[in-house]
Amino acid sequence: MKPLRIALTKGRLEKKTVELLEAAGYDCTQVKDKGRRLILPVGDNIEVVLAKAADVITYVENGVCDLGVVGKDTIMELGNSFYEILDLGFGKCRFAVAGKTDGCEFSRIKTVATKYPNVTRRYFEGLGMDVRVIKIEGSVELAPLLSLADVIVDIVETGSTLKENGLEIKAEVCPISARLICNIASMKLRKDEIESLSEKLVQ
Amino acid sequence: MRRYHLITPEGEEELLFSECAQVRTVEKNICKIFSRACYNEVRTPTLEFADVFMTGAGSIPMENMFKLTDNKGRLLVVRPDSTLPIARMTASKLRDAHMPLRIYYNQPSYRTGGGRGKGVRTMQAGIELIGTGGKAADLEVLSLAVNALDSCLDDFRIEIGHSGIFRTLVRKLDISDAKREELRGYIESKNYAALSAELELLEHSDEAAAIGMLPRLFGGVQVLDKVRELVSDKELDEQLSYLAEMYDALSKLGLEDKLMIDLGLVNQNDYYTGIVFTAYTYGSGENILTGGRYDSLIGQFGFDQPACGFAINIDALVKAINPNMTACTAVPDALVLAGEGREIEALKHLAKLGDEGLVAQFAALSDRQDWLQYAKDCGIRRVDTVLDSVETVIVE
Repeated sequence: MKPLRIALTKGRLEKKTVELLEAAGYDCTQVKDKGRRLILPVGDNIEVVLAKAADVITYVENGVCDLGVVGKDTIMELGNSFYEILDLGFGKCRFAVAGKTDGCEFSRIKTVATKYPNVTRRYFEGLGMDVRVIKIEGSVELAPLLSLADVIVDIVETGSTLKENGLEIKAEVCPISARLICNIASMKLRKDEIESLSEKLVQ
Repeated sequence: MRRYHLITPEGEEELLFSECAQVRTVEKNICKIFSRACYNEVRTPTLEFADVFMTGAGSIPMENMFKLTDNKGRLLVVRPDSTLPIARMTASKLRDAHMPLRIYYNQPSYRTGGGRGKGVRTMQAGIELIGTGGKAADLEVLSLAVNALDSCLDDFRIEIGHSGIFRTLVRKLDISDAKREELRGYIESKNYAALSAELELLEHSDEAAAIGMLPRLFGGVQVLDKVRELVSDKELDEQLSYLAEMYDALSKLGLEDKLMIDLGLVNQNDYYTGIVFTAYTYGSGENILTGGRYDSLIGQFGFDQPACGFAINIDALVKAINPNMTACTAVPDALVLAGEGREIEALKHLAKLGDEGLVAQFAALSDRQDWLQYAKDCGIRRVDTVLDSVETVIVE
């Protein structure tokens, strides 16, 4: 039997997942001491793949990875033709609309800068507001400061970056955390292995 | 202006030589199974009026269809699905036909999207059994699905569910259509966390508790008891017993190790009215077959007939059978070289070899040694040179 392959989002979510796997009794020395390798064995029957968040979804959707650990923010942005089987409870933050403290009224927002154009469009559509969405790749906070956009939609953890730049939260969109996702065919073909792993991760 | 004359649109794909051959073989095996079971082939138009796909249940989201207009400005779409056109065909041309109708098709359907490894075109081979309902019809369709997959796969799983179970349970909850659709989405994506959070907001009831369990209820026949223990309802009991009966019957067909029940099988395609099923295999991350009973769909076109059918995703199936396919041409059995002025004799000789069942390649004789080397490089075993007579050389 091939090992169960899990794609982890590189960085913070990867570290937290490794802690969970270790607590569940898996030997993660190879992942911690990975060097430049990208596919790493964990115990005898699990293989960890390290990837960027959006790629975790691509690998799982296409079935080359059975499972994946990825933030709800990426799931909301990129859609879901996979199973979202577990809220792992870490990587907690939230989607929020933020703008300058002396910025315009919420109902007068016209332009929004974000790394998450789909989430943003859906949110404002739901409010019946017609806004222009501008895709920004990093440091979205700059956009209102430079008057490119009225507000931003971004993930917020403590809010300190916003504060230091004279921005404040105008509205909360929804909470975010890390999720365990699963390929639909793998879920059916390898039910027992996947269920037993996901039970161990809950404890 | 940038020209795109050397590339294909995103999500489209060219198949070369052996790739075509392999797709054809799979299609031929499957279509043979269909026609042996008395199903007859139809082809539906590649372009259809958009209205066909925007009528009631089974509507395909506007953003998922490729659109164009005809010369009167009417909205057309490139076929996004084959079942709705067959429903239309049944309600128009086949109104007076003897029921039940047994129809099969093998044609591509197109959806926008693509990207992230997904194509916009899916080759689908499927059947529709129209004009008959009940257990016998469902079993005929399911066993045909299994036979078709058996003809090209060693190992696969087929799971069955019932579209009525979620509907029966959710009817007891006092919630809006939007909320209902939200719950359905969470069950479909097996999002346990969001589903239970959403259900906690509702007044506690046995039905809500059962809905909360649906995504986990897949496996052997025992999952049916878990719902029975929680909720007692006449309609629900009938649906659960029906699934148990189907499971039992299919086990008797020797399918037990391939068969699962999944009560979390709640399709967005909510034209299904009874049994629903889907199949998976190793090496394909997506389902290779989906189907179910849809007793009210043809009625939407004004002709009330029960029906059940399925579609096989040929592309996913071929990829699962041979994931490392490379394009190569077949090696001919013989090379026929025509001497100067002997072209007609050589072509006749070529036809003669063809009649004998050999694949022969034609060429004008120039330098014989070059051609012998060519035959050797390509692995062609026999070279016939046509001059005054035919001279055969076997290449070692």
